[in-house]
Amino acid sequence: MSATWLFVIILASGVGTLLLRLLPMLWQERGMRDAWRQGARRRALDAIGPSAMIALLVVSFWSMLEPSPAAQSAAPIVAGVLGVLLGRKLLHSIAGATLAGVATYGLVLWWFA
Amino acid sequence: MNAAYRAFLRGLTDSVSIAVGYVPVAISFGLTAIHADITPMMAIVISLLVYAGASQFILVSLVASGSAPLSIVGIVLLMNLRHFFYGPALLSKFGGVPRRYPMIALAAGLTDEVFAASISKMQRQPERDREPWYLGVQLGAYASWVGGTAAGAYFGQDWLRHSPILSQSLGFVLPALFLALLLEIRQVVAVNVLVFAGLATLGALFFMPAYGAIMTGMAAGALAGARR
Repeated sequence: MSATWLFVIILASGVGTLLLRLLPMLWQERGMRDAWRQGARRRALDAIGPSAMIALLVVSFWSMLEPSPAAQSAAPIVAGVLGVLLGRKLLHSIAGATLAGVATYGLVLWWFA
Repeated sequence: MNAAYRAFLRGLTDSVSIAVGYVPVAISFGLTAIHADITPMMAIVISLLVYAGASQFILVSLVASGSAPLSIVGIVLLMNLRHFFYGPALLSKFGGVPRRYPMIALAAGLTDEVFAASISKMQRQPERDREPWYLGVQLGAYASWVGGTAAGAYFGQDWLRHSPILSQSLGFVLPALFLALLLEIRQVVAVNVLVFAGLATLGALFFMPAYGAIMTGMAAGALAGARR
């Protein structure tokens, strides 16, 4: 594929992604501001963020287990989850918990290797 | 130093938690792009213009496999369709103060991780500071993603060549970040929302690709939240 075509693909993907993020914000700002703030819609909007997080988490674990759902591939994940929980408890920060989880995951991978 | 600038700097500081997750994954992306015969500069351009993690990996793999340009763009946008729901949810957190910045500045960097981190931390900011704080979070995350891509594209191969364990461990960075973010907000989210969203995602994975399952999970969680 030529550099020109690649750039066209990148540009179109970038503009499209920006519009996916921007347009709903503009629509809400212009006409639906009050409606979004009330009742069930507001609660649904509040739930989208946490739902996205858990959905992304489930998909991530699934993709790590998918080729071989054996104990050997699950053990590092379980260890990593425990590492995040422990890191959160001891370090009280998102970055610390993330790094603790990745370090534990890597250690168990190394152990099995 | 005025209040907005201070809030912006606080946002930059708070973006460190995202950067910790982004840099290793962005390095992986830079490496993946190089392996797909994309030049380092073009890999950086992808991160600068598309700025949407998972779909960038797909874009590169489709380019490498010689897919048609139109189908590549279509698949990338389909994968990013979930971003459509983030903006309204985010705006509802800004409160009733008048909008300070153009909407495009608020939308441009609205990735999964920026959205998740902002939703979990924004309530702690005074309403008038939320927009500049959020811009700081966005900019820090964006810089770490683009910088990580550049590092991976130019130097990553040298770093990871001799360490397959380190290379594999990079794959756990984003799940760890999402779990850490969930722990951060667990007290303000109803359990049924998380259970419905998680189970719906898991069930959907048996029938559809990951991006479809994510949207199914989000819809299920939103329904559970609305019925609360």
